[in-house]
Formats: sequence, structure tokens, C-alpha cells
Amino acid sequence: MGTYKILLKSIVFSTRSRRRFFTFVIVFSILSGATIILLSYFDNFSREGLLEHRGVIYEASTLGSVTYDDAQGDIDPGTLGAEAVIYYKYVNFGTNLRICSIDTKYKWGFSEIKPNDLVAGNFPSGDRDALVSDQLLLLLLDAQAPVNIYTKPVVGTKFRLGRSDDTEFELRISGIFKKPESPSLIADDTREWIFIPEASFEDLLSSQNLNYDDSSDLIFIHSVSIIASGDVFSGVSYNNVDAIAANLGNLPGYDSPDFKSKTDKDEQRNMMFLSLIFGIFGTFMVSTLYSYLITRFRRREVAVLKAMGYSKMNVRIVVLSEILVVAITGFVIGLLVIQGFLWNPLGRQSSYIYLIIMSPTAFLSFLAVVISCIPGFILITTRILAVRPIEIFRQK
Amino acid sequence: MSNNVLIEAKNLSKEYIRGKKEVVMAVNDVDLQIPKGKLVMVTGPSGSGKSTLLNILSGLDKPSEGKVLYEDENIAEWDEEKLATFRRGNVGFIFQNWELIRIMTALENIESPLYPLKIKSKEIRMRAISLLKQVGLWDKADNYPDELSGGEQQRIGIARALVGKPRIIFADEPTGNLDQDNAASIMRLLKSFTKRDTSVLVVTHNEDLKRYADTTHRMSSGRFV
Ligand SMILES: Nc1ncnc2c1ncn2[C@@H]1O[C@H](COP(=O)(O)OP(=O)(O)O)[C@@H](O)[C@H]1O
Ligand SMILES: [Mg+2]
Repeated sequence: MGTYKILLKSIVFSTRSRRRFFTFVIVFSILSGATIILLSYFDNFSREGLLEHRGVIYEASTLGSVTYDDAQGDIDPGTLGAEAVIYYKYVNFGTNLRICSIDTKYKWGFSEIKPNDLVAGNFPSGDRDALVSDQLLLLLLDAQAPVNIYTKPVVGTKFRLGRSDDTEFELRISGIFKKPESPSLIADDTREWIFIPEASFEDLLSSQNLNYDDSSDLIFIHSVSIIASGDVFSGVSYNNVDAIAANLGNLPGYDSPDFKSKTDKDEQRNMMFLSLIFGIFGTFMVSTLYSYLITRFRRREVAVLKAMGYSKMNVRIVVLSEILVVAITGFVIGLLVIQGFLWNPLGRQSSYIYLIIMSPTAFLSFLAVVISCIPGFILITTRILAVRPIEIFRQK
Repeated sequence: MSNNVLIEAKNLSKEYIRGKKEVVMAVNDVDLQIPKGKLVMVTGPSGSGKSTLLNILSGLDKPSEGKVLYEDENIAEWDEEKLATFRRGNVGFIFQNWELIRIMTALENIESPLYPLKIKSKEIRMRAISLLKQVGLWDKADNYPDELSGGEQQRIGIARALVGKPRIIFADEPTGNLDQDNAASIMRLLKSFTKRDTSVLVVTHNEDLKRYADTTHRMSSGRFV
């Protein structure tokens, strides 16, 4: 109870050394901002942006231009030295619908629907999960492909697909995506698309008692993502991407793949390292400097508190709360400012990350800030606890 | 030890090494008793060892030799944490420079010794307000130390020393930076608290303050004379 009281009071008192408090809150908010930007790069790379840096996408030039069989002939994974080759297969399902397979491991590997295009729910992970468009209500009962959804889709709703009553296949809406903007194969198509994991795709096809290899019911591909091995930061993946592209070149039936130029890639990497220095390293430097200032400015106060009988732990809480309060306040302000920039006034999501406050990036940045403060904490604790009241009082 | 003695120092010595090999006996074989509810004063010129004696008696410093007995226990042997606990419950301090904490208001300064204790915030506030009234500064509750005069700051210092209901108050030159009128009122205030069984040890170079003391010792070069 005593400890709790000291903590609360110390937090209030920390804000009273106004000039020091505000100066460092502002400094910390700038540094936290840099940290958040840095980590959003990581987040970016680990999700959609990653595809540009780690893979080559061959997208069919029009729907129906490449069959799955042809695609397998075009691309030989064995000779490419790729980490993975993902085919995004689709079939026509009645006259209103196409069913497309996606990969649950490389969620960011699909060129059109990204994890951040989700407006509700999650990317499919379970076998019977389905990703549907927010405009699915256009899709009504179809004589050939009954789908029993009659209202706007809701996450968790189960529905059945089937070409006849006895082949019905149950799926669950795990997530709802925002339709991509034109031009895009999906956006420009008159049919609706439902995305399901690769495994369910196979199951669905076999449940329909149809031969999808015959000419009227072919399996086509929307695109192929070839994921290069190696990591982004060392630049190894870049070189592998280039090697794959050189090896394959342009393939008939596909659009020519889009490559980031070497300078673009280098620029992005430089930005990353810059924010690394400003963000994490800067936070570390400033928090250490700030801790040092606290130990200087609050020495006399600490001497008085110790004379009054504050224990080591009590004193520790008094001084540590100042740097914690300042670092956290700065972090929250930095986060809000960045959120403000990302929030497009038209209510549309700009960039990949539209709600950074709820993102893992925010959490990771917070962790980074706290960890950067640890050397400062240690400095404070050792210096403050070494204060001997009689020595301080002798100094006028 | 007689029943009404609160703290007793026996053969207390403290030596400092100054420069290379010069040994300074800041306190040299001193015996002292502080009875319950009395104001004991130690006077003497600057450098005579008064502060050193006070610091040892209050457990802020350790003697080179001798004992400090508090209820038959020698606090000179205790470690820092144990001494902190001891001071928290039994000791109040008043300093020459007041040493109020600048980021706390007058009222919060008075409350501050109680924050580590298991006492409800409401109770703490009530005690601090009552003391603020007793030192006549009720209207300055929300002022910061920088906004108070020296005399006012020292009264807050006294209220802070008393808030934990200590059994003894240690005051090192409590009037050192005050004019005569303010000094007299501070001493009267201190004296008034001895009536409630609080002991007070005042060390000062100002011989004029003797009239407020129940017992006075004169110190010179580390010894009582
Ligand atoms: N930490 C120290 N190191 C060396 N000498 C000290 C130290 N503290 C006090 N002294 C010396 O001890 C003597 C007594 O000092 P002090 O107790 O402060 O006297 P007073 O309070 O009576 O002025 C002085 O000669 C002083 O210089
Ligand atoms: Mg002195």
C-alpha cells in the first residue's frame, strides 16, 4: 500500500518540474515516432510489402489465360532455388462466383488481397475458413451454385456451397475484405470471389463430383508468387529475386512482372537504418542522458527522503517513475501524431497500416522504448542509491 | 539506562582522515543522554563536531568508536535498511537549509514522510493539515517552497519533522539562516512540542538560543567542555 502511494504521488510530482518534463516529453515523442516508423517497416516487410522484396509475382494477363496445368509447366520450382512457389488457383462456380485458393502460410504472398485489406475478422487459418468481399450481398441464390447468404456478410456466419443439394460444402466466414480498386482482375470481374485455403480448395473440388480437368471446368490461376530465399535486411533476398526474374523472364499469358529498381530498394533500406538510429538508438541515448540529469537534479531530494527513512525501494520508485512517466507520455503523443498523419480525412485507409494504435507495431515500439530505457534505469538506481545524505548535506 | 532516557551515547568518537595522514577527531569520547520530552542543546563554534555528533545519534552516520543506545539496542551496529526503518517511525529532521522538496507544495512536503507508511491518504492529509495550522501557515498549503520566506519554509520543515509523530527531532542549526525574530519563533515552536513527550536535539553555534534548552552542552574540538 505504501509502495502504491509513493508511485502515484511520484507520478504527479514528476510532471511538476515543468521545463524538464515538457522538453523531454517532446524529445521522447519524436524518438518514439521514429521507432514506430522503423518498426512499421518491419511490420510492412513481414506482411504485404514483403512480397516486393522477397518475391516475383506472375499475374495472369486476363482471367482464363493460364490454366493450372500450363502454369506448372511454365515454372519449375526445382531449378529456381525458390523458398516457395504459390499458385493462386480458381474455378468458376456457377455463373456468379469464383472460388480461389490462398496460402495460409504466406498471407502476404497474394498480390491482390492483403491482410490489411481485411475490414473484419481474420485471414483464413482453419481449413473451412473463407474470406469474402464486403459486397457479397450482391450474390444471391444461383440455380447452379446455391449459396445461402442473403444479407451483408458477417464474420462467423456459416454458409454452404454446392452444385447440387447432396454436394453441399460448408464454410465459415473468417474475414471480410475490402474489394481492391480497379484495375485488378478481381475488381474488374463481374463475378464475386471467395477465398479459401489451399486444402479446402482441393476438398471442395472433390466434393463436387466433377472433373475439373475437362475442358468446360478448368482450374485456372490468378497468379503465381515465387518466394525467394534469404532475408531482406542483408539484401540476399533482393539478389535471389533478381536471379529468379532473369531465369524466367516474361512468360506468355502473364503480365510482365514488376520489379523494384535497385536504387528504390537501397533507398528503403537506408530509411530503415536511419529510423533505427533515430528511433531505438536515439531513445537509448536520450533516456540515458535523461536518467543522468535526474540523478543530478534530484540528489538533494533523495538525500532528504533517505534521511526521513525512505527505503531503497521507496527511493527507487520515486526517481524511476519520472523517466517512466516521461517516456510513456512521449510515446503516446508520438503514436497519436503518427496516427493523425496516417488517418486520411476522406475516411479511406492510406498506406498499409491504417490503425497503428491497435497494431503489433505499436506494441513492439512500446516494448522497444521500455527496453531502451533499461540502461538509464540501472544508471539511476545505482547512482541514486549510492547517495549518502550526510555527504549531500555537507555540500551547501 | 534510566527509564526516561530516550537516546544515550557512550564514549562516542568519530575520526576523519584529512589530506594525507592527518587524523581529525571530529567527535572525541563524548557521553550524552537525551531524556524523553526534553530539549537538549549542543553549542560550539563551527568545526567543533556538532553536526558529526548529531548525524551519528540519528543513525545517518556511523561512529568510529562507542555506542548509541536506543531502548538498550546499539543502533550503531545496524545496517542501512534497518536504520531507515528506525528513522521512519522514530526520527524527525530539521535542517539549516530547510531542504524542502521543490516539486511538492507546502502541504505535500509535510505529508511526504508518511507516503511509505501504511497510512490512508485521507489520514495523512488530516494530520498534515492539523500541523500546518499549528505552525500558522494554513493559508500557504498550496504554495511551493520557492514562494515562501525562509521563516515560513522552516516552519514547514518543522511540521514535516513532526508529522510522523517521532519520539525525537534532530535539528542542525535550525535557525542558522533566519533573522532574530524568526529564530525565536522557531525555537518557541520546537520547545512547545517537547510538552508532548517529543525529545529535541538542537545543535547550533548560536549561544543565545541556550535559554530555550532544558540541558546545554558546549562542544569544542570534538569534546564536551
Ligand atoms: N567527511 C568528512 N571528511 C573529513 N573531515 C570532516 C568530514 N566531516 C567533518 N569533518 C571535519 O570534522 C570536524 C567537525 O565537523 P562538523 O561536525 O561539521 O562541525 P560543526 O557542525 O560543529 O561545524 C571539522 O573539522 C570538519 O572539517
Ligand atoms: Mg554543522
